[in-house]
Amino acid sequence: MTSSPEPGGISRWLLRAATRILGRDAEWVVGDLLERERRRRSRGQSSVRRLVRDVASTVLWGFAKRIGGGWKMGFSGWLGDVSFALRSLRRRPAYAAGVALTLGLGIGTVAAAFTIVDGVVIRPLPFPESDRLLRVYRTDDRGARDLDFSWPQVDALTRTAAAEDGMGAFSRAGRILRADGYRDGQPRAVGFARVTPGFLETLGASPRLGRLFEPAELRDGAPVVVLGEELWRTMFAADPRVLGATVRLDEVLHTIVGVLPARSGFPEDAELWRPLTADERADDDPELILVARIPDGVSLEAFDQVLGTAVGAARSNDSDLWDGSGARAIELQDALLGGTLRRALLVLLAGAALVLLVAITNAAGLQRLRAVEARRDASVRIALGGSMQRVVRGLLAESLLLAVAGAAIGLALGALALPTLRGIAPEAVPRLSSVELDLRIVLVIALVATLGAIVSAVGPAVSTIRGSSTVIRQHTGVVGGGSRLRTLRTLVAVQLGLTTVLVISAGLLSESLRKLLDIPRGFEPEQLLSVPLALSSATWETEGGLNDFQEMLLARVGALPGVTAVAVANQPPGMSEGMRLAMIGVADLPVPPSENRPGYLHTVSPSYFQTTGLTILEGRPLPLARETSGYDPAVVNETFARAFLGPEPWVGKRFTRAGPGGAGRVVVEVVGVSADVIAIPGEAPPPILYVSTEAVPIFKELLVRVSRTAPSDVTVGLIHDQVLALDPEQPSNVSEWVVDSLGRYGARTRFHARLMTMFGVLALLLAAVGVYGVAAYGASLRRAELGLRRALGAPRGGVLALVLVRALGTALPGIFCGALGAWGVSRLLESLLFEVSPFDPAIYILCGIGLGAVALLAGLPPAVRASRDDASLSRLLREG
Amino acid sequence: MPRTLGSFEQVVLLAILRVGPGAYGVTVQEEIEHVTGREVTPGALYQALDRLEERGLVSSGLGEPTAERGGRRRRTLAVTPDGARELTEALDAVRGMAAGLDARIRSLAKQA
Repeated sequence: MTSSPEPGGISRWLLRAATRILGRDAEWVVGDLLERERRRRSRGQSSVRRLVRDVASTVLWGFAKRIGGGWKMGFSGWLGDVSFALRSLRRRPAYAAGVALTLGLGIGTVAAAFTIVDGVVIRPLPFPESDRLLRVYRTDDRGARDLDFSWPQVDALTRTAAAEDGMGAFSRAGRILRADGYRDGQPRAVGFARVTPGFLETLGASPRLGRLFEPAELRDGAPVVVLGEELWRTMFAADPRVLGATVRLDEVLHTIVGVLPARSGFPEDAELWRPLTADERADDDPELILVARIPDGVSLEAFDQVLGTAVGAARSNDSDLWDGSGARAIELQDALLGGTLRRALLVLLAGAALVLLVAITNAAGLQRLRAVEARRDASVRIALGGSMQRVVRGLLAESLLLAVAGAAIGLALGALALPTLRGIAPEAVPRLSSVELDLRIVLVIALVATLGAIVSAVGPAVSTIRGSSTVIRQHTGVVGGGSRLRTLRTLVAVQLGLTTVLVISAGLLSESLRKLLDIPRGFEPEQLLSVPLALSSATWETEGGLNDFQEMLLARVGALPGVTAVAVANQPPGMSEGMRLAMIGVADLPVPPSENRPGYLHTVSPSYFQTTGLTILEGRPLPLARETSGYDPAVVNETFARAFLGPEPWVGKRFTRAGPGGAGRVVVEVVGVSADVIAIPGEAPPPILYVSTEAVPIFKELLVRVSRTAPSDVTVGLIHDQVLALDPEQPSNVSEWVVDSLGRYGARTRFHARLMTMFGVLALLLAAVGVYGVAAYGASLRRAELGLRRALGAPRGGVLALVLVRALGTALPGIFCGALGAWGVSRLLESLLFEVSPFDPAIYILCGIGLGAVALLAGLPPAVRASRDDASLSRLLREG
Repeated sequence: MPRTLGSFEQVVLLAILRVGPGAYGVTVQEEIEHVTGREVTPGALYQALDRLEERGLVSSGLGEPTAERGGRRRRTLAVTPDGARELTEALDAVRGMAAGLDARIRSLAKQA
């Protein structure tokens, strides 16, 4: 045993806490604590339990003394109230748990929802003076308002006055990253940003380690990378020596020059950054996302004018490059979020707030029931000379304790709910991954809920005093419950009304989701696995090598049990974002070269159509071997055919497209027309030209259709084994089900629908408890009457019906008003709905019936109990 | 109507008297625990002391800082004449009530 007078660790922390709370008394109190602990140690009696108990009791005393000072009764009275309330609650565990859980559910829901809204909508972006950051869009003279820029356009704009305080652009890409000496050289798929000069500087990003790019590196597109902290931690084990190390990004050697701190990079989903290379600049795809910093004190409108002038000047220099383009800017944070998402999140927050309201009403209802009991207690105590004030304070202390317990439960639930919410959220919700439960938010919400609970407890407490004079009346419990029952019924009706709003919203969103998922995709995404391939290693460098690889791969994987079809392609179906390969030139066809919707080239093996289930509308799929006609056979999708091929019939038409890298010309013959792949419902599909990988040997994905009957885990494992057996350099375990990646596009609606449904179910549960409570209380008030009816020969079913009708009578007005309310607020939902009217009568009626059924079910147990209560008559006679 | 002393308050007053001049929180608490064999939390003790001081039955002051308390002073406690009077009354009441019953109470307790 040591006998140092200043204990360490936990005890020191406790001492500090005690000092903070005790203020002026701290000196001697802490002295006592220290001395006592020292004495115990010297006797070998020291224990953490004793120390914690001593400190806690001291702190509680000091706390009560400070708070109690403002009250006439002094702190001891409050301490007494609290301990009295604790004892009283311990005797009513069901009531205590009911109120605390109810409040906890409400608080937790709002805490999680508000945390998300705060993190995504309210909190500024993690850059210095982030409100000055803008996203610049290109507009065109055909009405498009959200186009991006090509490199020459960015280059021209950054030389103008609009770039005074910083301007730069990036585009996203995904590649395989491999680092010798880390993770055993295992490859990993990374998403990254290719940045132009000035981009990171415009953001104001500063490195955690090393440096950002030098101007020369940016100018030359040097092979250097800056890692994001996340990637640095996961792939490089946070090794500070990575600076100067080389990694292979798509098999090209790059040098690591710096690490960006977590959550301070942009775009949020980038894991590393590298300069835009010379090759990428030559590609004049307008896919660079332009970000600018607005000069201090300049308004958005003024900047828009500067921007307009800059584009105008650039256009007069090079009208071909700009082709009628203009520019507009909006705040980067708004651009990230988009109006719909912002509205969606606010609607969700409102939904969560409704759940909290339902919870508070429920807690108020339960407290009213408790007040009935307390009233009897109080009558006796006051009749015996007890203090009225004391009784009320006891009740308030109970509410306070319950609110604190509710806040604690809410905190725990919120912390649990957040990962779930993050899990079901679409990846398209920006910044969600960085959202964490903020203790301050929870405290504020808990405070609000506590106030709500206290306000809701004051009513019962006051009515307790008022009623306490009529001791005798209260004691019988036969009469006098009427007004309280009315209040209760109103509360429950309000609760059901709020719940109805939530349930109808959930119904509308779910119907919307169903419609979204029912849309024909043009192919069969289920059971389709996509395995990314990295094929630039030396082994397969030659064209023949790639063809051999393809042949072997298809043969080997195709022979696996559980595999019904297999193909390779440059991308899985429906993933046209960021995977565009080459714009086609359709020289022999009468279409303008500057057609607004450029085509995409998809390279696929002939088995692609069978494997993906992509329907061939006309003609046939790609032939197995190149035909001798001298033309490249191609399949086009319907949009392509309509846009470029003129009048039907389309099959047999020939046109030329630009060869690889824009060099030469290739004559293409259309052999078939496929259905369009619908990736994003409601969005027009892009025109696509499918050519064989035999003609253009580029493929980055292995697509495998897996039999429904096969155990998919095993099959996926076997497929990976085959790929690795053929080429051990291939990335492993990075395959993905196409339906999952497609699902991301419908994910927002799914997210909204799931969240609303969760809220609806929560509110429904709470409301059911409310209906149960009011039915049980109502039945208990009418026990004598019901017993009399039974005794006079009323059938059991009649009594049952009486109670149930009462429960419905409470519920129906609430549901009706709620439906009206939903009708009023569903306008807010409109932008989130897909092919569902916010006033869809079927959903309103179905939800109404469902809610009524729940109310009936909740009223059933008390009704059954009342109808079986044969002893009531004798009790009635005894009690008078 | 002035409140009569509670039993814990009586115990606290007695403990201060038993410890004697210079009594303070730690020694009073230890005295109570030593004699009655029951654990006392400091919070409960301070609460009782505050109540007693408010009623003028106990007086307190700050003593000298000592090294074993990390250089912190003590809150020294003493029973005031008023305190002694109330204690006497309370003890007299108990003694009066208990007079002659000692043997009977003990034998009754043994039966259980």
